[in-house]
Amino acid sequence: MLSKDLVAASSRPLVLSILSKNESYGYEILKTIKEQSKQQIEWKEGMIYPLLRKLENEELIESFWKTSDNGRKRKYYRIKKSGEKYLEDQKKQWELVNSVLDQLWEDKVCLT
Amino acid sequence: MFDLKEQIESWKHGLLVDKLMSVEDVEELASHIECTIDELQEAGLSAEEAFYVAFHRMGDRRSINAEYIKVNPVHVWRKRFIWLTSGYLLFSLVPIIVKFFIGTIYLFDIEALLFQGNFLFGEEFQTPYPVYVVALLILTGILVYFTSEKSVINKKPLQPYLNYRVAAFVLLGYGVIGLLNVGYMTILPRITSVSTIGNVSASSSFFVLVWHLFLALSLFVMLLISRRRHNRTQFG
Repeated sequence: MLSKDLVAASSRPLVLSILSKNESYGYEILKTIKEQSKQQIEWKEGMIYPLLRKLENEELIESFWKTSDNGRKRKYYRIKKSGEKYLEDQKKQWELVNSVLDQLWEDKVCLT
Repeated sequence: MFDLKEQIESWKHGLLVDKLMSVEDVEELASHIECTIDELQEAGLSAEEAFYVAFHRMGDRRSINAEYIKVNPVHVWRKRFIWLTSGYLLFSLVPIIVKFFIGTIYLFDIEALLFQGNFLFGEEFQTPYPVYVVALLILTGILVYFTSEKSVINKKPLQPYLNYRVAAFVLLGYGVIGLLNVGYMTILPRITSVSTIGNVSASSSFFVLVWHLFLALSLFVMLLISRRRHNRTQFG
């Protein structure tokens, strides 16, 4: 299981990455994260909505209500242009951290 | 008999009472709960079991509210202002009402009728501080009882009374009683033999009236704004 700090740090890029592929709603986003991480990343379910609201306030995503096939109304989210730019920037930062860690860990392996 | 719809409605109502989330926020969470319940029922759980599991997964009201406070700081400060102003107005009401009753007793000479003499006030119209203190202590006791965890357990019985209609009524009430007080304090020295009326005067009553009307008006406006934001919704 991921630590609390890492979950918090990765929450924005995770949500934005999912929304960059397709519009989605809270429940589906959580489910996707859970499936993609093979149940390793699990969020407290009520916590995703304040995050979505925050991203919306920052104008990275936008929301709209849609009626699903079973007649229920759901609040969907889609990424905005500014959100895509933000995600690109985040990708670069995560890749940088990833590559540094990779190198460090590889070095460590070589030393032993 | 477990009524799933009723349980969800009651849960939604519980979240709305805190007024930290809009109707739209609560509807979104309810939609999530419904999805979870559907999934759990498909997996073989009963409606009751599914509801409690879904409810547990969502997290308790306090932790949900705590997260929404972070994204709605303006909303929280508005709420604090509303409670603070309401409390101030409520406590200010005690001296105003006491003054109003005493003014009435004095003006119509009810004291003489009841007690055959100046039993209450002596020769001067004095500010009745002991009455204020007793009344304020009683009011504090009532508020402490109603807001204590033991007596209400998160039900917040005063919350439903904090709305713009009640604020409008308070505004009107303060206006009427305040004007009567100003009237009394202007008339009393002129029509009675009392030359000194303690530290109560028409000008101080007028200042108090203006101050309280201003606060009551602010409260009314804030509650109106709060109501609009609270009900802001894009669905339906």
